[in-house]
Amino acid sequence: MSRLAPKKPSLCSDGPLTDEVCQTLSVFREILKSCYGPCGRLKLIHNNRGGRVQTTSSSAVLLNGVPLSHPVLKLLAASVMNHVSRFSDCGLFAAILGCTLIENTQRLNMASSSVIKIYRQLLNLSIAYLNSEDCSCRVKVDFKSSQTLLALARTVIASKPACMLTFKEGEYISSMVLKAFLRTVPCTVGPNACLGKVVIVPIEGNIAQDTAVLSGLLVEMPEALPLSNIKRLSSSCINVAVFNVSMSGDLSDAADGTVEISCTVSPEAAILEQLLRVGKQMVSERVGLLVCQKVVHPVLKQYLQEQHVIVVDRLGSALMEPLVQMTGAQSVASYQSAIPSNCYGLLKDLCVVSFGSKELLHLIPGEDSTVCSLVLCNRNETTLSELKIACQTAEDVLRLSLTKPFALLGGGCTETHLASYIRSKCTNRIEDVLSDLACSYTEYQLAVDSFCRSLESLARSLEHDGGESLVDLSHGHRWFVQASSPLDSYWKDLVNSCGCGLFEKHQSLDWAILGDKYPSLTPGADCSQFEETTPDLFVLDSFPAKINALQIAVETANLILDLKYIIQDVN
Amino acid sequence: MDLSSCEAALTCSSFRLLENLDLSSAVGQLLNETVQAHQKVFNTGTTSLMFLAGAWSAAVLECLHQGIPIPVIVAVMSAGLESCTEFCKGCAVPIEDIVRKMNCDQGKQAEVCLTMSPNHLTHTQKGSCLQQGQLQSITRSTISALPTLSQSTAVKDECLRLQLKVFTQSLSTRSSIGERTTKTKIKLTHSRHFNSKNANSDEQLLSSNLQQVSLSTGHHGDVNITHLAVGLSHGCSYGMNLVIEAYRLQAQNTRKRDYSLRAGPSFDVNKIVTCVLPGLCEEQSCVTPGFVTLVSIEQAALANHFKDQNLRVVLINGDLSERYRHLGFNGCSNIKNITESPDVSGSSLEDEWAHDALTALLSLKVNLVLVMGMACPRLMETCVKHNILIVQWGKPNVLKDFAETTGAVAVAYITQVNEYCVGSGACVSLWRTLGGTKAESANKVAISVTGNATSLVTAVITSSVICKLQAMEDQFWTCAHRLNHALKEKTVFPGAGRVEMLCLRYIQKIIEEDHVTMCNLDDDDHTSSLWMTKPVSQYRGIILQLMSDGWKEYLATLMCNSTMCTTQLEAWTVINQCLGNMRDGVSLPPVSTAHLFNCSYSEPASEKRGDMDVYDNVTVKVEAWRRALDVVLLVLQTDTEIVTGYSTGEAEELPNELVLL
Repeated sequence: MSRLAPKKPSLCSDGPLTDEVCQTLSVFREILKSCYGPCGRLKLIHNNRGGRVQTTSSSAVLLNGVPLSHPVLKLLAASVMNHVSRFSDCGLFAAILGCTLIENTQRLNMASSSVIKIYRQLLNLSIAYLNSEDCSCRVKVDFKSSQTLLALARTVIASKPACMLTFKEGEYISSMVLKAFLRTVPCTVGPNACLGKVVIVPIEGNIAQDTAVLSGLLVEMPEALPLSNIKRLSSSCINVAVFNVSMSGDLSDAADGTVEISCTVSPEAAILEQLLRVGKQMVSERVGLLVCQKVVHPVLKQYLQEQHVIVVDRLGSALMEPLVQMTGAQSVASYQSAIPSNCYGLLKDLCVVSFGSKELLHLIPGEDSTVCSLVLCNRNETTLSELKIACQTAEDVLRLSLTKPFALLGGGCTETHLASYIRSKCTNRIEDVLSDLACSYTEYQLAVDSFCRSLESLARSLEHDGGESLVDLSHGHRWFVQASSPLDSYWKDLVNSCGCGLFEKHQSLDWAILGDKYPSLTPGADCSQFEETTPDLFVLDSFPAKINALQIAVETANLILDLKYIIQDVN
Repeated sequence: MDLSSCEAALTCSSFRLLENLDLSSAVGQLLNETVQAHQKVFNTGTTSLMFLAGAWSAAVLECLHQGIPIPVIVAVMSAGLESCTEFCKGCAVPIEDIVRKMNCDQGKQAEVCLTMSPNHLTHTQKGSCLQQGQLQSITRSTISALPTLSQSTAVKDECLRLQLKVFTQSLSTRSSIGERTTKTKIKLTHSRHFNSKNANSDEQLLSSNLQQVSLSTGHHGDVNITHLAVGLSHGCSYGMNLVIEAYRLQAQNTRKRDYSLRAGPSFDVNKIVTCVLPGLCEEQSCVTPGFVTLVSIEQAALANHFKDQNLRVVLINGDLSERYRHLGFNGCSNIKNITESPDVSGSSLEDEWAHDALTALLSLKVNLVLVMGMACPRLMETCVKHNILIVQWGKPNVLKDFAETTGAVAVAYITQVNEYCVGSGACVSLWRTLGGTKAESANKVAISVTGNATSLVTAVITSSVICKLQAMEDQFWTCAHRLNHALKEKTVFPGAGRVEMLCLRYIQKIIEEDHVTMCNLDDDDHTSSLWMTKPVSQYRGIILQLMSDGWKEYLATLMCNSTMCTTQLEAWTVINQCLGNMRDGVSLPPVSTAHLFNCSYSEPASEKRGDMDVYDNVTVKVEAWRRALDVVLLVLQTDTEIVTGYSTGEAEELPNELVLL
């Protein structure tokens, strides 16, 4: 019995950024902020019905797993999620910066339209600077050595404490991710060369040092695989047939209608007959391995195994694309007609590998294949799933470095440096800008200060234990002082090296507390220094991801500041 | 105890305990997840994991009280454990050493056994008396072992019930307080010494018993493991007895099959299954080659008829019924069957299917069908009439073994069976107890099915107390996996708390060295790693001390539970004394394992326990430590708990201190 309820009218609310919303926003910001960086705090996400517990500090899981109530938050989360889906990294950066900008602006008590204009101008200024030649907070990615690439990977892995890796394990995993990435780069550059695929195979229960990279794909062991089959095949190349249609013997879906069948006809038998016909064709054409995305009928399986064909079924859609890429096969979508002979692919070899107690079938491709598997191991489910996200992100970051061969300094140095650059740019000779934006000097200074303070607070939020962040007055990098330091000592006695690891302390440097007013400085364009010394533990962030995150954060904040009404459909 | 359904579960290991508890808090669930993951990989060591998680969370809490920053705690603790682990791994004892030692002692011990039973000394020649005498003394010792065994298990059960209660109570208080750090401070005694009151006598009996057993078989492979196995049994002689028996049977079979190929010990846990028979008393437990299962009386009669025959076997890896379809097959719902002529015969689909199945089986002259799932009862009945035995509920590893030994190929449907799939060489017999009686319970009779020269063995676990069966089965598996890990890794730790003692000493040494270097270094910090700035090294001593206190508590509880000491205080005193002795004796770095064996600490133990050595698994132990610490640090680093899935109605009823996003 169905019941009809009258539709409720839509709700329209005026001036969406009320105090209540701002309060929720600040709680949201605090949650994200406390996750930020390698010392970030973790969040336990679970439902109140005893479901799975997730321990995480990554934006992708947090924003996906936590349903938000207010449309403003939803809007912010959606644009950050969109950024994460494209760039993987810097999701927290974008979300925190967006929140902070909105909150700082609310406190300014200025007309939002002019603030928005100023923010947009500052964003353009920042992006122009970061892209320019004389930007001194970026380094060129050196593809001749693995050092910069490794630093990029390590920064991502180290920023996820929920993986519970020791320093040594973290280094090992970073190097494995880099190794996997390098395998996906084709050796020969042709007209249609493209990057391969890294398939992550998570294995729970083993220690992180069991992680390994193998070329080709790993699939579940077919049950009851006689070892003699594998031995027989090992001598030559193996023909592979790939099906993406279910071969379980189902009738193909008859839509909404009903099929009427006479009792004397058995549809199951008829389909099985078709399947066996295809099986016979494959045997006669010397197929050594049949891979099916879905289920293969046991009778067909048995027939093929008797004919020494190995059957792998239930591959799943995620592995289909790399499989097709690796073998050069075309996936067949029907078994009703004969298989065209050009559909078969080739494999070099097959073997069985075991990780812990788990046995997997290793499909080994030819020499120049760009598909590889990263077998990820970690001790339990929640740390493994976090590690999987971290490795995926690290791999995406490495890929992005190919599109733009730069990396930004991490550890909060880019943010402080950028803030000090903007401050110095926006104090003098800005008459043109003011007339363009049609605002007063004071208004402009207030908005610039709010923007810069947002950036600096982001750099400060890397610290979670009451320590102090400093900025040096010649490079504009971030330095860190521990919480319980004695009050009467000089800064230079307390600091060691800056956040990104580029500068060691030396006598000519001077520091100020980050967040206070400090004398304006023009960060020296001394890029020359970089090339000589690259520190061992360099902290680097992805250039494209960070720039896009900056853009997303400022534009989303602008959008939210610009909101006048919210209309909600409550049905 | 579940009050609502009046269900009760008896457990003796922490993973079962957690499994049976309703864990509503997120932290509890996280702990459960960790323990289950450990159980899944290692099958043993979960209790020490849980205990240390509790002890270390107390340590972490104390660190927080002292105002130590979280990253420092994380860094120092994980680095401390890592170096400890490295150090301990260096002290592991290779199995060969133990075996060698035992081989030397063997002759001596045999004599001792004989002098203990003066009756047999009437046979003057030692050589000849060895065999006969042992046979008798075996039976004697088994008989004398019985009362102690049952007594000890009874005591153990009592403790368990108590502990379960304590545990649930502490859990509930924890969640109500809503404490931030996990507090699993449960006085959960370590399973190893549960039955410790009689453990000493038990173990001695067990060892003398077993050594004789292995002597009488006269093969070196068996002699090797007995001592090791007893050391690994941790007081659970019941389970280990069965495991050793299983090992012996498997080794025999391996030798039978390929004598020339393999000489070393082979132990395959995958080829062991358990069969639980309630109603029989405990001493009927034993290990039999093949697969033991329960069947109906009619089938048992048929099985008896098949005795000593070579049977043709078919394996079905699914259900044996008309309705069964393989995984992934979705039948269409919108199909209508139309009959043109009215059905005169009146036979249903099932009848037709059963008929087809029977025809197929008869035409291939199959005698035995082994099914992974259930079998259609009507088909089973008809098949018995045609001399075909259908055995249900075979586990995957059983089917796999039969596929290997008989040459049969497992199929999904009975209709697809052909000549190629049928295996041969299976035997069926009635399973008889040691006394020679048939095992019957609730109209079911136990039969055993064996393949040709199979190394598959079944441990038949019996008890007259039904609720104890699960715990006994768990104990058996724990023992089996301990032995398996030890044989695979080829090294073991000296047990009975000696590794923990090593850790304590090692950490103490680090702290002392730290102190020295701190004084020397003063302001000049050329320490390499990032977190080793001065304030960090200040805290280091405190954190490591608290961490080692966790181990101390573990040791103390262990000693209390094994009645070496009567109070925790006494245990702490003994441990501290021993630590002092170790410090005075030799400086630690070149410490030899031999020295440790003679550590003054083990003296009170050895007085009571005789010359028994106790061993622990290396990886299991180390991993348990690491995972325990991981859980604690994971919770330590967590500052927010996000609960999802409240509907709007529920959300309004929530307490005010929660924030809605």
